[in-house]
Amino acid sequence: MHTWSSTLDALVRERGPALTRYGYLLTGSTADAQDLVQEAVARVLARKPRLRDVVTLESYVRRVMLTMVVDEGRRAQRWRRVRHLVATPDEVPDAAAEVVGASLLETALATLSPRQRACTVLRYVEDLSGREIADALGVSEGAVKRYLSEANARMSAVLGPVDDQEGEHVVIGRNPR
Amino acid sequence: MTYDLRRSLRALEQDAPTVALDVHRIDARAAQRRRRRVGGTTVGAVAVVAAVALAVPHASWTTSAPPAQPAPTGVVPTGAPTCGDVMPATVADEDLVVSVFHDATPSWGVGAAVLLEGRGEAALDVAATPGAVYLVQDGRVVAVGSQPFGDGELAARGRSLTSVGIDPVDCGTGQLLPDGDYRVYAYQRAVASGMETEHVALGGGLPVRLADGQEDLGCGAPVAVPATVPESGAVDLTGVIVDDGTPGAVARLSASWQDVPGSTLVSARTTLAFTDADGAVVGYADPYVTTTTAGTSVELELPLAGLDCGGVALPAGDYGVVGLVTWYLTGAPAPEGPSASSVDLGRHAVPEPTGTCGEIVLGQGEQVPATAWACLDAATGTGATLVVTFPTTEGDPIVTTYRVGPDVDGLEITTDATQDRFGGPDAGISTETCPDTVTAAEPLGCRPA
Repeated sequence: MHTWSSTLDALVRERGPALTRYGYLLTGSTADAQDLVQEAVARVLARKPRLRDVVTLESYVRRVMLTMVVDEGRRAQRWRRVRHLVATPDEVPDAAAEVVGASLLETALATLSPRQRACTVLRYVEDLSGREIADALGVSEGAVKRYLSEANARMSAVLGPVDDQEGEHVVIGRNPR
Repeated sequence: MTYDLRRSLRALEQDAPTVALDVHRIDARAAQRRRRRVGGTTVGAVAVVAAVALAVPHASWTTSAPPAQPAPTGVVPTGAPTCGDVMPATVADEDLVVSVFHDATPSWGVGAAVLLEGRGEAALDVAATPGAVYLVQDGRVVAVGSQPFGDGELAARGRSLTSVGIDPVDCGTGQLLPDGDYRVYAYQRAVASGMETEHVALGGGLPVRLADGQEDLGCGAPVAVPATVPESGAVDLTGVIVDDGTPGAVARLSASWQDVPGSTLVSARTTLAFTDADGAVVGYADPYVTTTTAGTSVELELPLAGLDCGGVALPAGDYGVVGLVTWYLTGAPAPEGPSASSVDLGRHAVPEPTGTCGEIVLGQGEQVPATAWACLDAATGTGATLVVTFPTTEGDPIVTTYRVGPDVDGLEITTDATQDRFGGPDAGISTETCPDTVTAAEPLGCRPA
C-alpha cells in the first residue's frame, strides 16, 4: 500500500470520468485518453507522493496531460531524410450537412496539431485567457494567438465560419466539471 | 451562420465517452517511476530471457491472424547481442514476441518492419530500453542500430509496428558493408507494468540483399520501375503538380491498393524522380514512408524539390517529374524485391532560390497554402523566410516569420504581437526554435529561443 493509495482511489472515483472526458477532448480517442490520464496521474503521484487534496491533484494531472499531449509532437521520427506518416482512413466530412453533429466537430479537431488542439481546448472549454494559455504551454502569448488563428482556419475548412467571441475573460471561479 | 465552437466543444466534453481507469496499473506505474527517481529500477530475480526465430511466413496474413510460432530450439541469450557476436538461436517467449518483416527499402540503407506483440495479461514498458536491430552475415552481427520500437508501452495483447532503418556500415571497421546477402534481427527488452519481471525477445532472420546504391531507379538512366510482384497486389497511383506561381510547388499523389485484403499492413515509400531532357534520372525528392492498411489510400503532397544525384540541392532548371511508390505487404511471402508503380507528372521548372517564400496576409478562416510550406521545405539547404500575418479575432495582425536555412536547427519562428491591442502588457516579439520539424507546415519540438 503506498502513501498515495487513498488519494488515488478518491481521484479515480470522484474525478475519473471528468479526466477521461478531458483526455478525449485532447486526443479524440478513448483509448488514448485512458492512457493519457493514467500516465499523467502516475507521473504526478511519483513526484508528489504525499499530496492528499484531490482538487490540487486534479489540477496537476490536467497540467501534465497538456504537456504530454503537446510533447507527443516531439516524437516525430527523423529517419535521415525519410518522413514517416501514418495515413488515416479516408474520411470525407460532409460540410454541407444540415445537422452538425459531434462527428463533424471531431473531424475538425482531428485536423489540428497537438498545440493547436491544446490551445483550442484551453480557450473554449477551460476559458483561459491568452496569457493563461501561454503560461500553461510555456509559449508566448503571440504564439498562442497564432495557434488559435491556425486552428480556427483548419476547423473552418470543415465546420464553416467559426464564431469566436474573444475578448477579456474574467474568471471568477472555476468549478470542476 | 457561424458555428458556435464554444458550445459545441463543451457539449462534446459532456457527452464524450468515458472509460474506467485502472487504479492498479496507475499505482504500479507510479511506484515504478518513484523507484527510478530514488535510485534506479530494481529488476526481479526472475528474468525470463527468451527469443523467437520467425522466418518470413509463406502465406499472407492479416493483422488479426499472425503466423504460428516455431518451437523453441536454442540457447537463451543473456543480453543484447553486440558487434561481432554470433547471433544466438532463438526461443519462444510467452509474453513478448518480436518479428521482422520486409519494409519499403530506403535508398541509403536497409529497411525492415519490426512488429512487437504483447502476449501476456500485463502491458509492457518498451520505452525504458530502446530496441536494437542487427544485420547478420554468416551468423555473426556485422551492423547494429538502436531505436525505440512503438510508442513507449505495449498494451496487453497489443501490437506495434515500427519501420526501422539500418546503416549498412560494418560495426567493427566503420566501412560500408559489401554487397551480398544478410539477415535482419530485432531485439527488445521490456518490463511488465506493475511487475518486476523482465522480458527479452529476439526475433527475425529476415533475408535481405544489399546491392550497389539501393536505389529503386538509378541515376543517369531512364526511370526503371521494378516489375510488380503478383502476390503484392497492385496500386492505383495518380498525381498532379500544383503550382500556382507563388514560391514553392508540390506534387499531389494518391495511392490506393487493389487486390489485397483491406486489413493487410502495407509499408510503402513514395518519392519523386526528376529527369533531364533525355529522360535520365538526375535527382529525387525526399521520400515519405507510410505504414497503413491496404484498405486505406495514401494522399501525399511532396515538395517539388530535392537532391540531385550528387547529394546537393537540385539546381534551377526544367525537369520531368515522375511519381513513384514502392511497397511491401507485411507478412506476405518474401519477394525478390518490392513492388512498384509510377506515374508521369509532366514537366516542372525549378526556380532559382530567392531567399524568400513570400509574404502572406491571411483573413479569418484562411490557411497558409501548401505551396508556401513547400517552398520553405525546399530551401532548408539554401535558406529562406516566409512571413505570414495571422488575424486575431479583433482583426489585429500577428506577424509571424518562419525561417529555415543551414544556420537554423529545423525551423525558427518569430512572432510579433506588438500590434495586438488586446495582447496584454507582455505582448511583444518572441522567437522559438523547432528542431524536430520535418515539414514547416507542422513545427515540432518548439522551444523559446
